[in-house]
Amino acid sequence: MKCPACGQDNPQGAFDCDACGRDLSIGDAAGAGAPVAGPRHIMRDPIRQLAPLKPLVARADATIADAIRIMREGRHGSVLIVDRAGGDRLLGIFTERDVLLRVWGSGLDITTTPVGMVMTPEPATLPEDAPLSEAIHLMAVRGFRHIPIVRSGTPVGFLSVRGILRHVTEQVLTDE
Amino acid sequence: MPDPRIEELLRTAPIRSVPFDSLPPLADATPLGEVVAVMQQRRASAVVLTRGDQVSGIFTERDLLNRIVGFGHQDHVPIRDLMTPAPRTLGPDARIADAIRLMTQRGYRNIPLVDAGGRHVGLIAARDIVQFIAAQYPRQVMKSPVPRARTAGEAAP
Repeated sequence: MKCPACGQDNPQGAFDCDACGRDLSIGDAAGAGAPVAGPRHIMRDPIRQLAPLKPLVARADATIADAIRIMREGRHGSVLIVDRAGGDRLLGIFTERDVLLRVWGSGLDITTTPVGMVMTPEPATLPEDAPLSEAIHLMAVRGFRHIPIVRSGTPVGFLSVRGILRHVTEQVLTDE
Repeated sequence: MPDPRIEELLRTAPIRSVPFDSLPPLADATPLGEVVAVMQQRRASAVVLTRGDQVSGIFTERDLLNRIVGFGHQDHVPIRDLMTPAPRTLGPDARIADAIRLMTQRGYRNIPLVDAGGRHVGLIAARDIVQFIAAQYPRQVMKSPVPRARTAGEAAP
């Protein structure tokens, strides 16, 4: 599909021009060369607008059982792992998925094994001013379900799949 | 004004237009150990349980976290004693918006899909819907820069 504004040849069915970002679904009514107008792109909303949740945090030398207790009590499916020196530098993330895939049936003693041994080290993170599109990219393309939000290496929040869904729907699904 | 295309799509498109998990369900008499082994093999975050031809429950990795690990349950306990029984279900022709509403208002992350007779059709997850939404924004999402260098292997979906 050729973009009426800049002539870029886009894949069939594309919503927006790859080159100039023009909305391809609105036809040529605005005329070639018209500025990109129309609906605001929620994909550009900074993720701080999604009111990221306060993260659950555990030190890397906490046991797996401690980390699971923190998740249960905090009613979240992930806990961010920070360094053990009492610092707050993000080292990794431990999720309910890790419980399923790495802990269950592993024979590890969860009451003595440090969570640092089974966490996912160096998880992908985002700063608070990253656009929603980057968060969705990490989830949809790379498959992460929990994204730590960091400020100077320190976790200040996290985004979940449901948090994203909530924001998108609050923006596009008004009351019926 | 928010984007009318995605609004229209979520309001009107049926759930069946979202790629969802249609892996076979397990009988709710299946022992816990076997259910978790299947979840590990499938790398599935949830599995649907049936009794006869009816959907009778759901068991998720959150259930494993909250109810099982460290509580001394034995692998041979039938999953029907540990699952969430009689989960909220939807038909595959319900609107995507209906699934989203259940997920965001009631907190479900997985909703079993059943036919008019209550028989298993599949399982729709919050993540499936996020992926569906992402696919509507190929330029913004699929080409979005990521903060960390990617390898070629990671870049493939």
